[in-house]
Amino acid sequence: MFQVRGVTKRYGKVVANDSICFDVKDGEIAVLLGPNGAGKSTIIKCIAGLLRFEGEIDLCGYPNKSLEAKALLGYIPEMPAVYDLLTVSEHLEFIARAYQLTDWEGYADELLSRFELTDKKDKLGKELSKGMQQKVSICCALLHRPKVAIFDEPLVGLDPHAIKELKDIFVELKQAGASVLISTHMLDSVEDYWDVAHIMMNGSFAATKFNRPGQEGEKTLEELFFDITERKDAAR
Amino acid sequence: MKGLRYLFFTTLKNSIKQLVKNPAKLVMVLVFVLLIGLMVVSSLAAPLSADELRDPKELSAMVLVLYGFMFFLGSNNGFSSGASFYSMADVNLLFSCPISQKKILVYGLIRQLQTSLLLGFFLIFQYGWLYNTYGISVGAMLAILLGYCAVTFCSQLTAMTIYSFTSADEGRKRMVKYTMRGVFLVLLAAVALPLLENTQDLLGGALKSATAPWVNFIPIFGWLTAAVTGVLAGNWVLVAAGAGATVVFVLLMLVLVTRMHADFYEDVLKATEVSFSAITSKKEGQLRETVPKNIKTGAVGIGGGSGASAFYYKHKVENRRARVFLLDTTSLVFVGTIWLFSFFMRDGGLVAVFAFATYMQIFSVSMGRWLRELTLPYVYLVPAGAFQKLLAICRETILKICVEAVLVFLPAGLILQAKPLEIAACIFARIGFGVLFMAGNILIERILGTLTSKTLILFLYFLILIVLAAPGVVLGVIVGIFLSSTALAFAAMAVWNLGASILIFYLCRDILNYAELNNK
Repeated sequence: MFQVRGVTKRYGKVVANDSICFDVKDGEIAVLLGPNGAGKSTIIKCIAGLLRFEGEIDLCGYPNKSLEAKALLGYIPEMPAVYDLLTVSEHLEFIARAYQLTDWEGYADELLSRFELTDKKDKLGKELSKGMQQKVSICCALLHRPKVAIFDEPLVGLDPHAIKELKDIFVELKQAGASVLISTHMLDSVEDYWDVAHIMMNGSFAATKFNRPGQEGEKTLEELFFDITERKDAAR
Repeated sequence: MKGLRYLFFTTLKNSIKQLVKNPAKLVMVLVFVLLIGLMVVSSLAAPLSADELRDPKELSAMVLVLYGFMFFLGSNNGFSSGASFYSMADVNLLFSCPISQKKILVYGLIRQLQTSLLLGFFLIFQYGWLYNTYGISVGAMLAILLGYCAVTFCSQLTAMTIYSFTSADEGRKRMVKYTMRGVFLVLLAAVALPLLENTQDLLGGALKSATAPWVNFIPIFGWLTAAVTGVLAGNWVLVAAGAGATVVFVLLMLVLVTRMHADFYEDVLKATEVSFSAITSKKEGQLRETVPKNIKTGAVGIGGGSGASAFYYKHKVENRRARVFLLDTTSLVFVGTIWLFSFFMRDGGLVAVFAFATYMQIFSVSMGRWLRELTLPYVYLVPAGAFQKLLAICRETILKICVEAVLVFLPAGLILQAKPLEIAACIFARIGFGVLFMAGNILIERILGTLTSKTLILFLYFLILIVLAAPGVVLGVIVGIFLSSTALAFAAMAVWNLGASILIFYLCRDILNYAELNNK
């Protein structure tokens, strides 16, 4: 599981995240929803240890910047992160070496095959389309079988097959007991499998909704989202 | 036309407004203006003795080399993506507007003129030494600047014409490409071959070749060099001939572009996209490297490393693919420039060459692979010690600094006929500066990582470098004066720089735990 306690992130005078608190339990899928500029990517980057922040973030009991936490984390950035001059297979070899993995080859081949990258193994990063670069990024983040996986707008630019595959992977991660956090604009893309949804507005959580199917009278995720975002937009 | 006029003036107005709204940029512009003013005033105030001035033909030769290099470099783009006067917004909004293509072409040309003028501003900073060495006036400096802008502008226009003429036909492209390269080689041979006749006076021979009358007839860079030489010598016929021929060339290219291809939109589209992606990545802080168009993948595999050291082995693979043999192309150009400088400034001695080389080094160090590593998430995510990772990503650049130091100062020292001990000390001092500039970069990341203004970061970077290097320079000067030894002066500088760098590395050892991912 991972815990976020009172995280505030400022860029100069702009408060991008304001005292954010939440946690994602083992085997749970949490989604972060919100309009552009709500602060979703910022909190994700804070969890990944890419930004300085005030507050505390623990991954499986370790501070997020400790080596133990890093070994447990998988992060998929919004913009695909690939090296122009490495081939697809070398990206995975590099990750395996950097994370000091053993017996990783079989799982690497499986990931490449699931994302239809097997025949692109020897292609360089710069020769890949944006969608393919995103697939490589995903494979790199999953190779070490993370216990905490955070995805920042992971479906953007993917083809329908990769979207289906990635959705399956979300569920597999959950079944394997990992804590999964997904930031997205696409409400319909998460409706099948989310456990808890946090709606962000202006750097803080405006609402949290748990997925309890069959509960009568409760608003759908989409209704709640528009209720919050459009009401607040109008009030501003 | 109303729409285009509105767009041009509104963009101009808004960029001025932005300057006023953004104090960091405003301060930087003011500092630049102040520096230029100070340099001009202090240069003019210093009395010049006519006996100490060097032959102005040297200046004409340097102008020819600079203009020629810029022209070939710029027009060569015509064989790959072409050149574009337009932004992505122009392509998306203007090209689909009901405005005549010719008017849009004129708009693009005016925008390009503006950009060329801005690009040439770095030349003004050369006024101080040009005045002291050749005694040139402010007017002559402006003529060199205008000539530079004209060369840049013409090279873009030529690239656009070449692209229009060759993009659809590979055979034609090959023909134009080989013709241009052939012409370049013939020109190079025409300048270089006479040198073989008199190896005793290479500098004199090179000057004679580069300032021979026939050089004035070389299109564009020859014409513009002639115009600048005319201004230097007060020969207004030469100025009129050079400038006139250039204007005719521009008009001819415009007619060719508009007549040859009724639809030039397609021709500029690719170039606009290429420059747009370069600008976007620059804005996002991603340092793009210039990689060959066709990369030979070669052997596949990282081949070594575990934990943090995997980064170093990855860099080795990337260098091989980028065809970096010892040094990358940009560094090799820098090395060549320094050799040329030492050749032309033989009287200036090792210290002058070292000062020039150190100035160039600021730019070559800031292009290291380690800085690119900071813009991707992996270096922060990999579970290895922050200091180990820092050393692993810097290893390749440190090796490069050492190789570069030897490659620069062994030949330069021989050209300058310096003593072996002085050359060794110079190499040692250059390594010291290289590592210090790297440490300066790390310090900037550590203390200014949260700053979002790239302009302010750049400004403070130069300020920090000056503060870090100043004590070493002072120490070197003191040692040099009191012990009357150039070698010891360089060694003292190197000791300070390496000591300061080690301290910075130690203080910033946790940078990869605290630095912001620099891709905002």
